[in-house]
Amino acid sequence: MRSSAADHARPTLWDGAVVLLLLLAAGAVLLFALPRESGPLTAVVVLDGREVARYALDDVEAPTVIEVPGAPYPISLELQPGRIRVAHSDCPSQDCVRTGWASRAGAQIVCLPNRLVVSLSGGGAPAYDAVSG
Amino acid sequence: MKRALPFLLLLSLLSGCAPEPVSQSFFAMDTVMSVTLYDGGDTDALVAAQQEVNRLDQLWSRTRPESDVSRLNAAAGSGTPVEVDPDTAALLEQADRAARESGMAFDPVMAPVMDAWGFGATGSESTAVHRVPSQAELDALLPLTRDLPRVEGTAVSLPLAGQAVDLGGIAKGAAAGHVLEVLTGHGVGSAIIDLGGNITALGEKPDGSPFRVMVKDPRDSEGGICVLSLADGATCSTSGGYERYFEEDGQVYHHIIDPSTGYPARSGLLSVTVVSQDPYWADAWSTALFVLGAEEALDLWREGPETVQAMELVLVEESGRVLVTEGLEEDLEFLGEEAGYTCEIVRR
Repeated sequence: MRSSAADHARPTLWDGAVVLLLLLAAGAVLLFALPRESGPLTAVVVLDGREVARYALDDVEAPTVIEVPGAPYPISLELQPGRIRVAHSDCPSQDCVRTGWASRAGAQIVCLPNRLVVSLSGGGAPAYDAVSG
Repeated sequence: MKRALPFLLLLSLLSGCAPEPVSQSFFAMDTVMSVTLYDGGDTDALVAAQQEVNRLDQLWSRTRPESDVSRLNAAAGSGTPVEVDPDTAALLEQADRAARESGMAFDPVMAPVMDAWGFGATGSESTAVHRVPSQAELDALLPLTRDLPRVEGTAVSLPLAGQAVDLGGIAKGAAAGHVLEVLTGHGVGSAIIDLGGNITALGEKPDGSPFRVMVKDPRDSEGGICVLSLADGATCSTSGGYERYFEEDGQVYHHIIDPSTGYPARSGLLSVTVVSQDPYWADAWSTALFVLGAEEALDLWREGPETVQAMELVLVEESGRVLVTEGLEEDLEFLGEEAGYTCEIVRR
């Protein structure tokens, strides 16, 4: 037996409204639910509140040292495939150097004297949800 | 195409189902804590959880003069019981049981000796004054660490003057149990409770997979020994000398005192991690087993009290050998190879 839908080939205004609603709903869900892990592993360098550089760490092929322009205390970053660290800093506290390598989404390297923050995002699902100890 | 369109639209709706985790961090019990909800951001639940931990901190802290613990300690040896909150009485009963079952390897009345080392109620590690007590001093203090508090309903007392209770080895586990109740009471089904590194899982992650917990490398604060799966309702608790210690004359003295000697435990272990469905036991026994050492720990796991047989353990030895009980084998990701650790699964 043929379904009645087969007899009404042209979409109506109601069909259009439903489509629009569904598209909006899908967009809304995607916007608010974007997991932090999506996208390539990226290090964002913010100096005194302004983004000055952004590196796709998975695209790094060989170890690279980059001077951060405009930092009050000369500071350089070393990029390696999948990770980043402060290679050298003239800052008085050296906490940023002691932090070592950052390689996972959510990791941060902070240099307070320079007002510099390196934050990592993306790179797929993190390997763990919490640390015991 | 007309038939396919609704189906495609439905698919696009399903792709972004899981909500973003929502986290609340705060300071309590001398450490940093956080509660992370994975199934929707119910801020009421987060606030309630933090308030509950603060309430318990007020009852159990040795640095607050009006706390149940401080009042109990002040009345030691007076013969007069002190009235405490039912939650304090319940905690003291759990501590009593852990102490007896562990042969006092977990000892909730170690405070006089801990204070002699400077590991006690200073409120802050940065202001602690550490020293190595003389043997004569320890000989005088050790007898005060053997008698457990008497608990009758909510009336509690310490028999000898100079005695003091320190619940630092079990309080975070106890608090985790309370937070679990608060969260489930608010309808939370998926969350991670992190109380100073004491991890409790509520439910599973939105995608149905279990929560994953990394055990820290005792020798490298950014490294890990392994990652394990933490089942719904389970708590993962780690004790290790590396967490608090001082150096004097080239010797390292850590905070996990062996109650039988009054000295930091030297059992050949760097850390003990206990996974248990009971948050109190996870906390108390991670300390007790660190004191007892690997051989005794595994003996107890095989043939000891029910509580220990029901646990799973990760023992990190000074030699670099990591012993993992077989219940954790599935889903275990060993990370320690690069740092020179080896992994051995222990079977019953």
